[in-house]
Amino acid sequence: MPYDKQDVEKAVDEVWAGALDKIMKGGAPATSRQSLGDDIDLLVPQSAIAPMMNNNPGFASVLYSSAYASAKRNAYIVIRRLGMPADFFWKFDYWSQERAFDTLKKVVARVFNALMVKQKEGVLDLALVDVEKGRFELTFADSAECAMLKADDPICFFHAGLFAGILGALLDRELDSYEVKCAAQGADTCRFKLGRREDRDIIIGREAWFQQLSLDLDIVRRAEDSLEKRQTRQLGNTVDISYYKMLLSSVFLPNLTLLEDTWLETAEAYGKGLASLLQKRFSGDVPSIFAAFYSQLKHLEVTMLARGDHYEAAIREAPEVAGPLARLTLIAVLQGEMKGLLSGLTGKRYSCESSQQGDAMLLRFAPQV
Amino acid sequence: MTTKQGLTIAVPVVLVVAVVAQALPSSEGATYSKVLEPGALLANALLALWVSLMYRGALRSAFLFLSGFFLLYGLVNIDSLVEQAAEALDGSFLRALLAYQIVTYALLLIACAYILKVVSVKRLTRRGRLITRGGGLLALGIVLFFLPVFSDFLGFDALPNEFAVLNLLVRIFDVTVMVLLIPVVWLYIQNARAKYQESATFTVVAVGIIASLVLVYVAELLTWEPIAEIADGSFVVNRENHAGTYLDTLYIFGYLLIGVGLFLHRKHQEWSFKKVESLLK
Repeated sequence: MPYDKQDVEKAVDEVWAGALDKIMKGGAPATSRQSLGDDIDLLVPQSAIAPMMNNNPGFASVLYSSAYASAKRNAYIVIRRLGMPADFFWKFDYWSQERAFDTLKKVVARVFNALMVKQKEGVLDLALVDVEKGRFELTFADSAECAMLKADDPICFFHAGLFAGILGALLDRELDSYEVKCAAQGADTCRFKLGRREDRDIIIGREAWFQQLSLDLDIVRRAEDSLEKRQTRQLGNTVDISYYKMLLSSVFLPNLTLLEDTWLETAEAYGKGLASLLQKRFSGDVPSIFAAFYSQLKHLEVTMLARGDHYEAAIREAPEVAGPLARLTLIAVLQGEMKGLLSGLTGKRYSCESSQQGDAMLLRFAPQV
Repeated sequence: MTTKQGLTIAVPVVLVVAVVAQALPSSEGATYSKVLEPGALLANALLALWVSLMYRGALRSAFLFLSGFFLLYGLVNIDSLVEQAAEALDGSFLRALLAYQIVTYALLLIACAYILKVVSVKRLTRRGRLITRGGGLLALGIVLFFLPVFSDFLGFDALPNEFAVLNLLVRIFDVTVMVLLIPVVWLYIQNARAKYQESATFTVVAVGIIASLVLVYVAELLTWEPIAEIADGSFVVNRENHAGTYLDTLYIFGYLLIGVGLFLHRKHQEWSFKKVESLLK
């Protein structure tokens, strides 16, 4: 279902504002989930992205440009809300190298890194500024986008767009970026190069990054890591729910018409792929496997009832349908994933209908003839 | 403290300090002006140098040339120094002073050229271009008003011709700088509500320079009385510099405003970031 652009922008802005509230004195407390809290397993946001990237490398471009647009718009709002004057970065092109580096590093560290660390999204740092060429390098340790994933090429497209948008908003210019090193390749930290959109080196670097893309991210193996609680990140295996909401609202909401079908398909395939892993990991019937899986990930609360070969799932505290996103439900991914999981566990194909009942989202699964 | 608060406090203070020159009895007012005017200009030279360290390229050059201008202009405002130079140079003093003034204004004009290189003058709206043209007309008026006085100066045997040329040149340089800096001020006004604004503190510096250079001429036009003239066959100074008159009030106001602008320009980021920090957990 297509959404009104203004509604989408409002939802995105609210998610950013909620995230900012968490690092501001006297910020309005973000709506927490009463029983699950604000943390969510890293696997949840990764499983929204990785299967899509495996399925269609073109998704990387959507991820990048959506993150850029969201950050460009909201980083500006963030710094204004923090009282940074509109002439703070006046004539940045003429700043001395030292002043440019020190000031930008301070702003990045104190505002945007604080925001990202709070969201357990990663640790952002400015590594290099070349004022003359208008180029920047950022490092991002413990990236929530690629942690515990393995790939031959860098895969942090969301953050590459996000960082270009943030610096672009600060400096009032159109920037582009590409990732030169990624933790998914085995690097210590992810490293990004940023520069003017018309900068030839940046264009070449970015094009090469997007063109050679052929990903085969093993998200089921990654899910096993989460379920076995193997920790490889210093920030832990969870992220703040606001990071996941930012991802959903920035990437999926504005492109829902374009992505919905593929998203549902890939989520279904992912769910199916998970089934055997979950059968090994959890005992009991289908409803208890569902409840245990989603509860361990702190993704949502699900109470499932089996009525013959029909299933009815009451979902609560799902980030996809809570807070600013409530008006703009993003249930496609849940429906797809649960349908796939159910098919994998029962060996049947299911159709799904959703409805709202009080504070719960009801998903009714019926076997397809 | 924010820059806005700094400006809100500093501008009235500057105004009061400037008005004191006129409010004091004439001899005290004269001493006050003699100390304060060169003092403010020399302080501005240091401040501009301090600000130049924040930048590179054209903007650094702009502030370096401004610093040089304030230094030379400040030195020539030290009466005792000028008197000593006049004694030492005797007959060639006025010629030397003329050369000195040309060098001083050349520094300011070069600074303005660098400023215009940095400021995107092409973004001026139609109204901005009209305002600049209006400034050009005012400049023309200021110069034209002086032409009869200039011709009297030339024909007055008691004064060497260099004196007349010096007065005309200073006037032309002053109004040229004004016309060059009007777009800087207007761009700030034009973008006052934009997402990314021109620097408020830099605009204060530009306003200060314009004020210090042309306010006296505006007053001259408004009162229709030349600052100095040849009347009844003798040289008459209607408003003397460093005498504790409203002329000094205007100069002091302009010089101090530049100083405030430069100081706040340097402090702007530090104070703004402190405010950001104070809002963060």
